[in-house]
Amino acid sequence: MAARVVAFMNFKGGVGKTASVVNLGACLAQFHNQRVLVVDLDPQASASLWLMTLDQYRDHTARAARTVSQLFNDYIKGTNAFDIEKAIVRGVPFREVPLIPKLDLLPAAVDLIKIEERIQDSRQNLPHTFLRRSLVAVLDRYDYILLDCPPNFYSVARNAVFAADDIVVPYIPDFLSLSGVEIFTDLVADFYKKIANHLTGRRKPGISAFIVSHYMARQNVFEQGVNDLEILADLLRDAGKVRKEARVLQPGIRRCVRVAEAAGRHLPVILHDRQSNGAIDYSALADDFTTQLRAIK
Amino acid sequence: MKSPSPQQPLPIAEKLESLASRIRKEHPPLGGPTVAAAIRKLSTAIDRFEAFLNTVTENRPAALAELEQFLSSPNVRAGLKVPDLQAVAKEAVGLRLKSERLSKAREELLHAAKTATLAKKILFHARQRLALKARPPQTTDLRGLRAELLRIGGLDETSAEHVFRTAYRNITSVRALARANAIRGAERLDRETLWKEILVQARRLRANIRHLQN
Repeated sequence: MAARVVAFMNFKGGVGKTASVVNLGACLAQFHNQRVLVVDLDPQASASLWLMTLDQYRDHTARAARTVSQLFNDYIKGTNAFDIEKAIVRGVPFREVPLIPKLDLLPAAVDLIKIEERIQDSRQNLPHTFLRRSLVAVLDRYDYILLDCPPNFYSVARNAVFAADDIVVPYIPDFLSLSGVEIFTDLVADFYKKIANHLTGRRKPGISAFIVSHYMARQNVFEQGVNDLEILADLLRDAGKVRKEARVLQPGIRRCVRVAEAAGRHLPVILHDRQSNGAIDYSALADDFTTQLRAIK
Repeated sequence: MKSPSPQQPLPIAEKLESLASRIRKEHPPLGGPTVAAAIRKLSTAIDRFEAFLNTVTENRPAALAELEQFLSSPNVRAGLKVPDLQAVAKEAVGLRLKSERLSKAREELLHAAKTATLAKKILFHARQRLALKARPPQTTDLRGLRAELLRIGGLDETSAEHVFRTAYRNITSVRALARANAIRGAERLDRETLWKEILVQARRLRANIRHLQN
């Protein structure tokens, strides 16, 4: 069966997109026996550097053809240098042996930032389809392909929206984040309307879930923020801007210093500190994530 | 030291091959009690590693591996305590777990999963129990109460006052609305103060949702 492609998106930065992709991906591979590919689409390459040491990353990306930038470059320039087989890093993190054998990574590089302009300037047809067209080659090899998206809605992000079967929106439960989520869902809904003709023969994509990040149970402002999101989700469902099954996944991810530490050690939190709140929350979230995606046909 | 690339062959295999080749080459001059002791130590370590390798690579039923993975997951370790595991063992396989220690109880449970069918049964009951603990059944109409907050947020002073006097005549109903919407003070504030708090939150929320402004 073809992989479920899931984009983690929100054009607000610092909402936990990368942390969700890396840690959820690790839990799905480690505890759910799923084959997972993490695709890093952020020029900051945070997911790549979370799952690879600096030396490993430099070694791998020394040849530019082994990052997602080349994937886009090939379409823009009409070249054929990107080889997905060589670009995918298998079994990350790696220390002597792969620590999570079923977790793979397609890394990003900083030059992805230049790709944005080039995609916009390119005269290629259907520039939002580049990523999907390249991922088709590996769809049968994975259960989940998780896309770590940049915090905007430009060309690369639109490629992710097109490539995805489902969109998951990470959210920080505070007053300022709510209207951002609403604007984002409007953008996605408009985009899907525009490209409806290009989606034939595929599972109908949509926003399937929200994830609450940086949650602090003792602060009422966060409880209120989650409640606001639940109410907004009800409204968006009724308005048809998200899937009718879309909901806020449980549990919310508590703020946890171990998660930040794990990034510095280039490890998912389940390998850094298995007993931490971060490890407990992400592994519980992985349960709900699989339940939710299975419920959406 | 430079870390090995994930794409390269396992460095330990190369290290062992190179060591074996060196031992073969330098065998004649090697000797003496210290060398013998070092060889015994290395040999014991290799035996241990080989035994470990056997347990990792042995062909176990997929259901048992799945149960093992499930029980090792951090949320399961934090969520399913000894009484839970005891209940799971009893419900799934009619077994009474003897241990009161969590790690031992987990081992007992795994030991009880002798066949794939038993492992599946245990897994099913354990998942069910964890889901129940993670999300207790909701007794109130949460969605209705949330929609009510949004509706109240859209009322002017006069209408809000009317709603307060007619629909929220007792503290229980005001509290239910506040609790469902995570409004602080549901347990300690009097009816009027709590209502004021609800109005503030309701108006704040309504003003923050763009598509209600059109």
